[in-house]
Amino acid sequence: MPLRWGWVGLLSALVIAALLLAWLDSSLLRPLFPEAGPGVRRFEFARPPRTDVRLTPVGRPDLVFRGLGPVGGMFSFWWFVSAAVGVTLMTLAALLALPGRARRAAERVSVGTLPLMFVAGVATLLLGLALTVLLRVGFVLVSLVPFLYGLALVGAVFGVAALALATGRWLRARLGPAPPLVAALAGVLLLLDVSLVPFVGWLVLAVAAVTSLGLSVLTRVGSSAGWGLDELNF
Amino acid sequence: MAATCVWVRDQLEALVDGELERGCADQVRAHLSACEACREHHTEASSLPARLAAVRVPEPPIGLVRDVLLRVRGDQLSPTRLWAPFIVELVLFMVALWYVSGFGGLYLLIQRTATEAGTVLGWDVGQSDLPPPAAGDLFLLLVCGLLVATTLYHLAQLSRQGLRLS
Repeated sequence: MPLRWGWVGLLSALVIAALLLAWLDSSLLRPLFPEAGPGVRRFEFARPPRTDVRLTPVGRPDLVFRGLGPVGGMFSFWWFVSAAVGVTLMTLAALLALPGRARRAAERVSVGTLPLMFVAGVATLLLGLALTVLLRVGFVLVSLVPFLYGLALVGAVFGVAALALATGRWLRARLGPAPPLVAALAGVLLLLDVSLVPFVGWLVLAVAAVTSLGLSVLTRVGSSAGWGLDELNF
Repeated sequence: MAATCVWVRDQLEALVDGELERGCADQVRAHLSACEACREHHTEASSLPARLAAVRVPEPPIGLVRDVLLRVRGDQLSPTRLWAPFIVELVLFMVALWYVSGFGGLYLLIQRTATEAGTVLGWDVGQSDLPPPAAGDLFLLLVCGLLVATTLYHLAQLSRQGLRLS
């Protein structure tokens, strides 16, 4: 199916806007970011004793683009671009891996259900924090905490994919037919553009991530039976 | 089936009901003139309202409306049941936050948990000693236990409501 010019224009505009916003965030507004540059705090994981195997350093830290910062630097232009590409690829991969579930979850997205999903996302985050404290006392159960957080991450990615699909469907009703992945791509790019808007973008991204998590939880990752246990009756 | 056909078939019902915008309706008609399969769908969609009109409508049982409304009202969650747990959750979270001395304390707690998890996983693969068990704080455990119970109850209510709205 030939892609309409409206879609080509929209996708091009969204990509250009994302690049310009990333440039703005990484150059003019970079001093406003918390702990920009090499001083970013990291979790102090317990490290095993050193072995003789030495890994060679990855990347080229000496490679600096004029006005855009080092290639792998935190909050540099390339950091924003690579993060955006990573989110886009993960979202499209979720749609490719679980198309049926993503569709069912996207069908539940409406103006009326979005606040419920946000509240569900907040409740899930609080549940995760409480479980972190409870599992920590469980000694061996503490090793489940990383998996718990990994599960939350997968849920959020799936939720973003479903939201992107729903946004793409909304755009298709206005711009005409397009392959669903292209429409979903436009949805992801729209979210990324908004999240790169200075000062308020991160807040929108946080709300979208929490809502996505809530969407995954409420629909049990797009399950057709939801949280019902009818499938156990056989 | 081509993606255009999928889109056109989505619009057929609106076309038959006369609810499609003019430009969109012209596109659908142009596709129908070229696609026989979609034209068959259109014929079916056009004839369905007439067929349904010909079917005699049975008399509804007495009290049907009352029974349906009772059932719907019974399933509907009141705003209090829907939102009250959220307030309880926030209060419990604020209490826990106050107890661990704010967001800095919470960050430290998560950092320690990550360290312990890393050590236990390192012990699993024989790269580090088994860490001593973390000291449990009864008050914090109680607050977190209540938070888990409240959030699980709330999520159960929300999932029921979310499915009903879909």
